[in-house]
Amino acid sequence: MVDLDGRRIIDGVSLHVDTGRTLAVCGPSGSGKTTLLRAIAGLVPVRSGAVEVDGADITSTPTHRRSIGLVFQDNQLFPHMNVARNIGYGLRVLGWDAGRIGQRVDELLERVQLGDRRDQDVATLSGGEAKRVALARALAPSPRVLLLDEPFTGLDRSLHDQLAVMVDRVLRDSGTTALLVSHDPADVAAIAQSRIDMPPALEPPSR
Amino acid sequence: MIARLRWIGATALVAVGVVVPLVGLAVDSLRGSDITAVWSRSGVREAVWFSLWQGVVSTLAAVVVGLAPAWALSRFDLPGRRVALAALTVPFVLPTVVVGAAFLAALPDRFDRSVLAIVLAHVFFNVSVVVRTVVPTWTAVDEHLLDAARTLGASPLTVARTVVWPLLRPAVAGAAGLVFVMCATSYGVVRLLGGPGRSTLDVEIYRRAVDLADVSGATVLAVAQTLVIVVLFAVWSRSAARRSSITTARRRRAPIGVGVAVWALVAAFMAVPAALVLASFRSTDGWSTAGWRALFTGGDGLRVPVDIGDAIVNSLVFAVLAASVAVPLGVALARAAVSSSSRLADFVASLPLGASAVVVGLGIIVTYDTGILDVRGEWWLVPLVHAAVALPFVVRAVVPMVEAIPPGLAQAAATLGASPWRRWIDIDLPLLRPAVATASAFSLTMSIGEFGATSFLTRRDTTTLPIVVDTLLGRAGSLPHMTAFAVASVLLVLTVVAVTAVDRSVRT
Repeated sequence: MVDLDGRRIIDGVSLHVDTGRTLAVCGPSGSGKTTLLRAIAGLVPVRSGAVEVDGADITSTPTHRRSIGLVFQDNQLFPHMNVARNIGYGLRVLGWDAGRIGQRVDELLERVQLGDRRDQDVATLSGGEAKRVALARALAPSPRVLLLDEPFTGLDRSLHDQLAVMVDRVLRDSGTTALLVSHDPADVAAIAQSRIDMPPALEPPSR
Repeated sequence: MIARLRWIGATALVAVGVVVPLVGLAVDSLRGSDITAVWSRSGVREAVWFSLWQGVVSTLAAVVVGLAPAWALSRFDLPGRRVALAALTVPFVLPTVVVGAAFLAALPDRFDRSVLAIVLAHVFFNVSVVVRTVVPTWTAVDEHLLDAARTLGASPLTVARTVVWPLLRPAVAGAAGLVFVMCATSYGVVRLLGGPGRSTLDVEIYRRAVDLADVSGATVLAVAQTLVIVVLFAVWSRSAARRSSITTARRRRAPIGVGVAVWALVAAFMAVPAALVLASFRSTDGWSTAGWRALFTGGDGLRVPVDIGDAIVNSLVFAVLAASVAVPLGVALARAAVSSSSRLADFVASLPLGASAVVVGLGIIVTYDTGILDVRGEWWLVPLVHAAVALPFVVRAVVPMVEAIPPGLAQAAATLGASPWRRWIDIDLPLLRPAVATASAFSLTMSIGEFGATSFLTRRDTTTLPIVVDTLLGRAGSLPHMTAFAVASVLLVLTVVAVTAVDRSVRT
């Protein structure tokens, strides 16, 4: 159960993701999908219910100790860092040495096919490139679970399909457990092995 | 935790520096002094009347003179547009005594101590307020909207009256309200350029308290004026609250006439500081560097009880100390105002705006005068009050920059494992750098030029440059005046250096 600004956003949603697999959560906009991801990441408090990873309850663990990656819908790339520094951020926080970080960043850049953009300013990236940087950044510290919030909105159709194939391959290759939120059935079919549907919105969004 | 400490610090600063002195004044005015008798004392009614009519005339002049370049700079792309914009907006941060001294130097002697000089100085100051407020709004007026009106049969005049003006009105009204408060409570400019019968209330408050030893009369005036400003300010902030969205319009190439007119105005603006610097080299019998030499000989032979070298050091030290208090507190308040959209933070930061600096200065000498509270002669009081006076301007300058930082970035860092401390170092601090730089520029320039409160607080060994300028201009003779213009030139340079240095550090 999650409340936001005194309004109940989510109530009675239960889901389970098998290790190494991708689950899609579907539902129309306003059904609380984003809030669900934010609750799992610890960015909004959960009023009742629990978040568990590998059997351990992390409901009251602060966000930065959860090891749950999140690809934000609007990417949230750090504007004062270039592509490589964005991707390497989580590794610097972990205290890796520069050499290892460089290797890991190069490997991820290769995987999302941005090898030539290493030192580029993130403000100059296209929408699809920025999304791939955000994905690489979230994957870099090898999170136990990766959350993807509407990863393909705002991209044109061909780019959308191309990116869906890439995300699917990256997730499989890295064996990442992932939870995808989307209103688009095509995304779900391309990436997820299973899906659940959000219950209808508790209150009309107009209120 | 850190945020809460800053909060307490900011509130304490505003309380000690502004609120307690104001309450002290209010209590003092109710106790003992006959409020109605003050009204009948000589000079009081004249000062009220002069504040009002001079304020109205100065405001109208500043708005009329300011709207013309605002129109040109919003609608047209002319050569050196950025330089022209900078030249027209810089006067706002210049110290009042510098502008006063510059107009003494620039105008022919027969205009010294005239209303014309005061109004011109106010226009010079406040055109920047009009340009700063109106240009963003006017730039955001969509050309297609005007095209739409034209296709519906509106003549250019009708378009201006029925489409452009209603869209600009809130910005113009907001600017005019602020300009009026600035002109009606003008102090430094009027102290230097006014004369008998040409005092604003602030000048009259100083005259009563210091020259006539009528502290109770000054106190009553200060309380009355503060009440009026608070009401005006409440009205003003309501009208200025509506902010239009910023879009960048495509600007047309300016016709020759428009370009020439804008640059003529810029040249006139530049002539004022140029006249100041020239006057520092001009004695009654020709060119001379005596005024500048007096800066290094410490003022011997000027028969003034201050050492100019000490004053330079004092001004710089006070400015740095005030900034090191006002900047962290101001940035913290701005963050509190943005993140919690808390009205309280905004309120705390706005409090010092309600009282003019002169009233704050008077309040401090009236309130902190007994027992262990008697700190009137303490040197640290000056930078403390400078910080309190600068705080609202710092917050106002910084809030839009803090608003522009997406809150999602810190959340993104948290999902990547960064602790709150780490998020502050890696994300907040670097992104706040431009805001900190702007805040520093505001605080430094305001402190270096602060005259209102400082004129009550400085002692012989804590004199600052604006006080020296005023003292020297009050002496007869060529050498003190040349030296005053030289000191004012130093102030001018210090202010411009502070602003451009910070501006550069933001860009790189």
